[in-house]
Amino acid sequence: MKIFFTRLLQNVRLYRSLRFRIFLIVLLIGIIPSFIMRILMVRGYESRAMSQKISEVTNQSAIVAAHLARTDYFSDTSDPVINDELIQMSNLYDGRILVINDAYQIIKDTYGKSQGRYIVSGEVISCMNGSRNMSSQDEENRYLEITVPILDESTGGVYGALVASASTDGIHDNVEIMNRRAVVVEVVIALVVLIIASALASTLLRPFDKVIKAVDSVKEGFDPGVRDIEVPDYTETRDIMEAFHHLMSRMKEVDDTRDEFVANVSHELKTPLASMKVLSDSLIQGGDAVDAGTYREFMLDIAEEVDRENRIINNLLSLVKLDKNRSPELNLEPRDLSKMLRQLVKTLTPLAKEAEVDLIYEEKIPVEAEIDETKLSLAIMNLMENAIKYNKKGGWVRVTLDADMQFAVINVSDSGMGIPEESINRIYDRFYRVDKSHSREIGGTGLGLAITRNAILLHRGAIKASSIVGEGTTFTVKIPLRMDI
Amino acid sequence: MRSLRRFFSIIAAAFAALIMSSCGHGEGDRTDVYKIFFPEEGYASIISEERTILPENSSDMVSALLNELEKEPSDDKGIPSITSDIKPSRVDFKENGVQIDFPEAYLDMDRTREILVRASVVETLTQYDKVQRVSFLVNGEELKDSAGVVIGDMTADSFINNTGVELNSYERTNVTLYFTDIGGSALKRYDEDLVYNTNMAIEKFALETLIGGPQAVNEQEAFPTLSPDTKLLQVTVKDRIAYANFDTSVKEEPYSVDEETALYSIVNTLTSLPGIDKVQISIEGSTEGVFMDHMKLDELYERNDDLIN
Repeated sequence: MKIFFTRLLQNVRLYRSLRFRIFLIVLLIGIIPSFIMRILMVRGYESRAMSQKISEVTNQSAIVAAHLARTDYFSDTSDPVINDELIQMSNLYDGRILVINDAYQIIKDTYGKSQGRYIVSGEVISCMNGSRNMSSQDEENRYLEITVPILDESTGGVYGALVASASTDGIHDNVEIMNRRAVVVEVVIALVVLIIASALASTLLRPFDKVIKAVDSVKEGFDPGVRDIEVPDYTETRDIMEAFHHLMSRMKEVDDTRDEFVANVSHELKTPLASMKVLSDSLIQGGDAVDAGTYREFMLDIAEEVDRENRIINNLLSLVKLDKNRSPELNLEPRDLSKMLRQLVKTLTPLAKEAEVDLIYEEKIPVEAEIDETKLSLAIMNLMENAIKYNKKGGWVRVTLDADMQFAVINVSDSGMGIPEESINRIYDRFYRVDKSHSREIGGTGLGLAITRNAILLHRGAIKASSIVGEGTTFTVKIPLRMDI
Repeated sequence: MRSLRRFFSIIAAAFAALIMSSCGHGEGDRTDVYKIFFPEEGYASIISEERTILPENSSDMVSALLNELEKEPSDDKGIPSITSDIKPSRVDFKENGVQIDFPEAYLDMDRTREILVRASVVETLTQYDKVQRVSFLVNGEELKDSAGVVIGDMTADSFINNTGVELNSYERTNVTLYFTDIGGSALKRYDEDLVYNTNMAIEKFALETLIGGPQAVNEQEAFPTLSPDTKLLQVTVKDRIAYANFDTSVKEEPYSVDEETALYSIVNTLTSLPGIDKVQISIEGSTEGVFMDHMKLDELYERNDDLIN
């Protein structure tokens, strides 16, 4: 039972193979027509030969019957000429001839067996009364039976009937020979088709083998050579390979991004640690010679670095939480955006004063929106912080709030250094720095804009940056007033 | 559950008993089932239907059968053979022969109806094993055909219902027979086209023709090798060996024929047929002793061409 199922499964697997199907289709298309042709030809020959034989024997019988009608054979059956004629005909067709008179009595049997008996078969009766020729075939015993009336030409009366049998062995033998030859031809055709079918099945699918090989090599471990594999044999294989290469380059991109991210994270986390190491090392080396003031100063620096490290880690965590793929929960509540922005401006005013930057808030109309206040205020605060930090002394930062029917629009513009055009699309990448040389003195984690963007996307909003180097940058944030729109 | 099973087994047993009893019934009465023949509607041919007739004595059986012939067949496909206008006026039954006297109206039937009525009556009556011959009279005179010849006794064999079967039952075939010359010491070969009944084994036909003598061949110089009284009891072929069993008259030597010639006429005739290499002759089923004088029977004989002249 188990063996049976295994075999069945194997068969199903075989049947599902495209190669096998092509093989089968070609084979059937090749063999079925030759099979049908053989049957039709042999059958056609058989029926034609049979009807020819019937008409031949019927004609001959009619000639003999006409001859019988002209003589007085019915009163005297010893006429040697006619008896010879009957025997000749009987020999010619390898059959038997019965002459029947109008009293249904057999007056002549070329086999000499049934003379004097009466024949009351349906054929003879209907032949006598209907005066027409009858014929029937006996396939099993291979003979034809012809019954013809013997008519008086002048009066149309019936003298009797003539029953002739004729062997159809010749026809059957011919059919058999023909069939045998046709079978030989058929077998040859089948063999040729078999060879063609298997050749086609293997050559037609060879390009697919190449595709499978390419995919397999990736499965076993990334092979850069795969990039160059093209299978241009068919449109289909070319398309498959194109799609495959596309997928591969996407995968490579993702791979590269991840690598870069990990490298960035390690680097960023390492930087404060390295500072702390340097500071603590110099304290240890100084030993007792280090005075309390220096000690304190160094320890403050270390504490600052710890804060920085802590901030980076917190930002990373919040970024992970905000990742839209993880669909974090939003605590949506209707909030007054103006109030939130005013609060943010108030919070950041000391920082702005320290950087000698004017922080201006403009409100076109009061706006209330369904938002998660914690996340959105973090996002806007990051934008404002950046605008203050990457500014020049005596510069300005302008925050405006506007709204249309569907969206609240928050603009954060500054008079800072601006972002070069080639960097504008990468500013949301994690740890991306426009100017790596200044990052240390400005501080920051390199995660701020990534967090901002994620928070805004969570609100189904949009963020756009436009900038001119040396003149300033404007971030435009659009937040839907209601999430269910 | 158990009682249900018992119930079913009882039902099955009852069924089996019923089937067996019905079978037994059928077998016991088989001899009483006769085919009643009658012309088909429109007098196109003869058809038959089976009826059960309970016999009491021989003459009653004949009249019972004639009575059945007057009845309408159960389906509408046929016409009774004997209608009221040709009801027989007298039926004589003696010495295995039945003589039926029909009224004048019998002659008024057209030839097709007449032959069908005649065939139906004869074929129906001759099924009864005590009836061998049937003859027809009309008004006390014997029935004559259109040429004025008396038709006389008819038997079951007189009528052919099916041309196909009739044509098939005989075949013309070539048989090689070995007779002897006037000296009786040499064999002569004769290839003859002969007609034989295909229901008979060709070996049997060949040997019977051989026993029947050279009238089967149109030759003046051929002489028989075996006594014409010889009876072939059986001939069978197995593993290319023919086993021919004769009665004791085969030992008679009415002609001056050598024993070898007689024996090899049998052996050569049989081995000329396809599928036979050797011949085992037995007399009354026994292979002990000799054929005529000295040739042993317990020996397989092969073809001998040396005797052929």
